Amino acid sequence: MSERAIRLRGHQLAAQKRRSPAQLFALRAEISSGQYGGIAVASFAFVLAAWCALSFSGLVSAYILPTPTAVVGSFFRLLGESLGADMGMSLYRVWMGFLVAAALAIPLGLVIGLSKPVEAFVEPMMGFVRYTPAAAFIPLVMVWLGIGETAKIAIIFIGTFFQMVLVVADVARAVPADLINVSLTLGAKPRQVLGHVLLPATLPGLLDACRVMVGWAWTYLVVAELVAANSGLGFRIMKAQRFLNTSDVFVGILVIGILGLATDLAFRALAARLVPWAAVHRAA
Amino acid sequence: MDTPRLSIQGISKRFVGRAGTEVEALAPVSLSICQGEFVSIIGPSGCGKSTLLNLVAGLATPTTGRMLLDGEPFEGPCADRGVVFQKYTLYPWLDVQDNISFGLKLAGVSAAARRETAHHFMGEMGLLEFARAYPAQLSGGMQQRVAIARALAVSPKVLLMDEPFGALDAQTRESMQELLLRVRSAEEMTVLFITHDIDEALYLSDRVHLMSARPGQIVAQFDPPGARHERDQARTSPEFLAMRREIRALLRHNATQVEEMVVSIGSAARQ
Repeated sequence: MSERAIRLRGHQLAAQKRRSPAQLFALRAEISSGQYGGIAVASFAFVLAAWCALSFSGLVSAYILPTPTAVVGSFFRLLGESLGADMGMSLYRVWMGFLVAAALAIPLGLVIGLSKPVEAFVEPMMGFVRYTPAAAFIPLVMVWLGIGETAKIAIIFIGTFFQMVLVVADVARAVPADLINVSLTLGAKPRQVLGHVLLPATLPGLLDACRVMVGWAWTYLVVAELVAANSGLGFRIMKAQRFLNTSDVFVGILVIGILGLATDLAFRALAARLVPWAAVHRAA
Repeated sequence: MDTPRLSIQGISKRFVGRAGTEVEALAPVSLSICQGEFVSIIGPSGCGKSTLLNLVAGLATPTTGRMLLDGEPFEGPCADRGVVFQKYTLYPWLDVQDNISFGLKLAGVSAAARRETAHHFMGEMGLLEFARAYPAQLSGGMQQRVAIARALAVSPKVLLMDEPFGALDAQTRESMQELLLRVRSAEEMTVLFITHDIDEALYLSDRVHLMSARPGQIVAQFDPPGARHERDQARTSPEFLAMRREIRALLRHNATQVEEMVVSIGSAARQ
């Protein structure tokens, strides 16, 4: 950044600090990162406060909404039992399912986005399959793959792969033709267009797609662990529900939420490192 | 006369429209540009002047005709014909220096030689202090300077410019025109320039061709008054203003009327 640009940025930040509350809520107005963080923390605090108020007051009975302290207690009890192993198992399934899906969906999606005949062959089919719910494949998956780890990973794969192919194809199609044309007039061979233009041009979009798809993978994890599982966070939640142990259900859900949030933040950090030129604060 | 640098011989372009009907975007056009010459094509929007440039760039295939570069027929895009588009087409993931040396990198030029060439053109285009800036941090005018430098860095035999200053504000456009004239003399560039701005065409060019509305064809030719190095003063000279009025009158009329007027005004302009 040039000196002038830095100074300009300084002025903008100073201007943001002087904003009144009314200006803060002006449509699409920018806020400082401190204000953003503060509001984000406030939203968590709000949910926690509402939870405390409803549960501690006895307004809602404990088997419907356990108190935060009961959930913390359950967390430490489960940590002493099998929570670590369940987390490990679930992380393994989510990442295996997601990585296999991404490894196949990214190249396929890129080819679809760049070649009309391939698009015509694959995309309508994908569009059809992706509307079939992954959970409906469970009986088939059990018949085809049994009830082992492969079956659980397959459910996550089915849930994410077809969506991802279409998202990646859109990313590839969104690369402006002019960027490709310019490289041709600068003497690029087709192979060079792929490596020097298409790959860097699609990288921000691909990272974004991966970030969103890992989120979907966590959703399908719980579905996958319905399939004769005896470990994993989804299994733990189902089991706790069977015994009306609501606070254990809460622990499972919160742990999944926190792991998901951590993955999301990790992807954003990766994007900030790998593609610093692209805006990384787009919402999912 | 020597072999022209670029020779366009009766190229035309017909598209098949969505309804299956044929659309003639460009009627056969012939045109020659000598080494070091700056030739503009001016015409109403949609007249096919950008189509002509894309054909010469090799980004589209002509329906008829042939094109020669230094007497050799060519086909498809290649680094010997550089292009600057109206839209900003810099690579957002490369900083200014890497954008400029992009073509050299494709050609396998060493890092040291790339840096040297990039620095030469950054100096010429006033970009040295922005070497490490990304395109998103630059104004539109700055981005087009980088785009011109990027095209020049691979030493094309002819530079094709498609309304390169069309998206810029009036002041930036004028300073870019001055910059282009300067660089063009320093680098002895051969340029085919597309524009719809009469002033711009007359100010920059050795020769201006006027194109009719679709299907585009060249209907008149003008040689702007004043020597190249004194264009600045010429910009307000009576001859310059008179020529501008004529072109504007021609552009206002429809294609058929243009053809009728060409004969009389074309000869008047050359006197």
